[in-house]
Amino acid sequence: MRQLHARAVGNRKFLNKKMGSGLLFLSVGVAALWIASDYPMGSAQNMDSGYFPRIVSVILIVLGCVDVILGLVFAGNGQTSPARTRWQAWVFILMALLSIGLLIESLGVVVATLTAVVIGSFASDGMTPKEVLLTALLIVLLVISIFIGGLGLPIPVWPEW
Amino acid sequence: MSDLWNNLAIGFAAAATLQNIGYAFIGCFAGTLIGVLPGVGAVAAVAILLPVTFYLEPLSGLIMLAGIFYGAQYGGSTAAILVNLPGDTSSVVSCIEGHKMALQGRAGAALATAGLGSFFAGCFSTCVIALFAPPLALLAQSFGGPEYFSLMVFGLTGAIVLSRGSVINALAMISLGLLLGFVGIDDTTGGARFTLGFTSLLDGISFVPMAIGLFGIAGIIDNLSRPAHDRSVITDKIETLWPTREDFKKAWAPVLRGTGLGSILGVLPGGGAALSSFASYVVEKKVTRDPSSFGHGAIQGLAGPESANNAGAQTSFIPMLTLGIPGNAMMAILIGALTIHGIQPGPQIMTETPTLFWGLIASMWIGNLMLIIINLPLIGVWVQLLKVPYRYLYLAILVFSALGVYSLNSNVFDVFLMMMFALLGYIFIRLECDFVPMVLAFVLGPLMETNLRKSLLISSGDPMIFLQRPISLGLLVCTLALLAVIIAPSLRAKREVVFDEA
Repeated sequence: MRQLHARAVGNRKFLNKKMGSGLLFLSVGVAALWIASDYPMGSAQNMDSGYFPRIVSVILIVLGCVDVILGLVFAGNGQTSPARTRWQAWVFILMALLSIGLLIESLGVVVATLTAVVIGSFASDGMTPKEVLLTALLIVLLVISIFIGGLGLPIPVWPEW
Repeated sequence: MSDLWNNLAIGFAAAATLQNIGYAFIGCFAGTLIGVLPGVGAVAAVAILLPVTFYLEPLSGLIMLAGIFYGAQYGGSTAAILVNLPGDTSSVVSCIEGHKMALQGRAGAALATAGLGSFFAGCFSTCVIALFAPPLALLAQSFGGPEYFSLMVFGLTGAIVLSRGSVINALAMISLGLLLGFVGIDDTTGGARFTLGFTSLLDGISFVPMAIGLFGIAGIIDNLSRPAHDRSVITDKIETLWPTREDFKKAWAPVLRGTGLGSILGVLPGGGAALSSFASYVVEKKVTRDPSSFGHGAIQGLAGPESANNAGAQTSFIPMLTLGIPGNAMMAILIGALTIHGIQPGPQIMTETPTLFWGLIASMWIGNLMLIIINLPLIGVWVQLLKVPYRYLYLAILVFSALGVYSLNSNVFDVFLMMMFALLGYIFIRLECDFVPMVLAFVLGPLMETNLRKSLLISSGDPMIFLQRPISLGLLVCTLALLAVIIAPSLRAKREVVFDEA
């Protein structure tokens, strides 16, 4: 039982911040090196498009490895795993942006804005439906007066059919 | 000297038209409006408002940007003093003494001190820029590939000094920024790189979606993912704005010292507002006769840093305008803005477009003046704004950012790009990887590659060329010294302390 507990704690600490950033750098570096291997290398005197990217990728891989090693060595030694936070924040904010991107050209500013505000409102807690609706209407008014009225953007305001 | 006045006259003639002053006013107002929002720093405010300025001709756009910049910075101080919520690192120090003053019922005096100190610092550092930018640009015109490459290495190393978190992370973030800078068609060879098949990426990653995603949206996500702060806005005690005679007596020396310190620190790579305000606070605490008052609303600890951060913010324009090297995130954003207006910052900007260059410098002064004129009388409005709950504000910022980014090229891809960078930025925040070095490297990446190519072409592939040219050698020695200082344990401890307070 105690062993099990220790392993659980160990696992949690294995995924500390150093390890996280190290793995991130490492994977981006490897991906970049892999993609860049298709680009012509050239010579030092006459660098082609693959020369500098390969150098930078290798540096990133090395630094990523250092972070991973530090993460392993210091696991459970002052290295904290990221604190728990509300997942709603990033999920709904990103979905709100996605909805604007998907809707703005086909359904216009008004629908896109309303949808984004409603989706985005789930990112914070404690907003009543009435509040959301009022905020959404206010933002739509502001958006239309600034972007369409003020700047004269060629964005469709309403759905076109 | 007469050159200086001539140049400034050209600048003021260009900048001080009724129309441009109008833009400065709108910029200052909008900048304060966004900057005063809790949790939204000056960098984020400028990034969010950037798209609006692209509809104007270059000089007017820049003047409006300057207004936004100063407004946002002062708005940040206002939020720091009244709500104890700093927008970004440069106003962290203002929280310490400024908020204490506000708690003692002296919010008005604190706000006025911050405003007047900033104005003085702004006037002084505008002169510093006008005085020192031309000789530096002249020197830079003799720079070749090796000098530029070494200068950029030095500049990026400077960025590490002020970045949060470990040096390894900062170096990795720089590499990551360089890689992001490669995306798109390579200018020299014409080959497309890292576009992942997206035609929209052929021109490279657009800067504005990246900046707004990282500095604006990622911050919002981070704010919302933490338990809500208990915000107590000080609202009822702002009756007299004018500081007392005793306040003036205590504050003038710190203002002078802060201005001087900020003017010097702003020019350094990695320098600017944040470094200057921290340094000034430390200095004031050391020289005061009454150290015990610090931490309990000492006006010296507010006047000094506020002047320093404005002076530093302003003199950091010097390397940006004359060398094309951004010293901090704000300058990286302004370089992005200039490039979109078709202006490549560098030594040639002063000789090729003198009206623009001097107009920009004049507009800094106008921006500063605007700050005093609109911000102090309008303080009541900002206080009301501080009372608006965050949950309404972030939705408005979200929608405005997305539409602003879309409006740049009427391209939905930019909105998705911003979304990706928002996610990336949030991951970086959680992993304690400061993304400022990444953004600087992103801006400098293509330039660095070009200059590396040039250098190695001259030397037939021999990397020793960087050590054979004296200026380049000097810069590399400075880089090594800087690295040694960063890795030295004493400074590392200090860096940690500073950021722990932040």
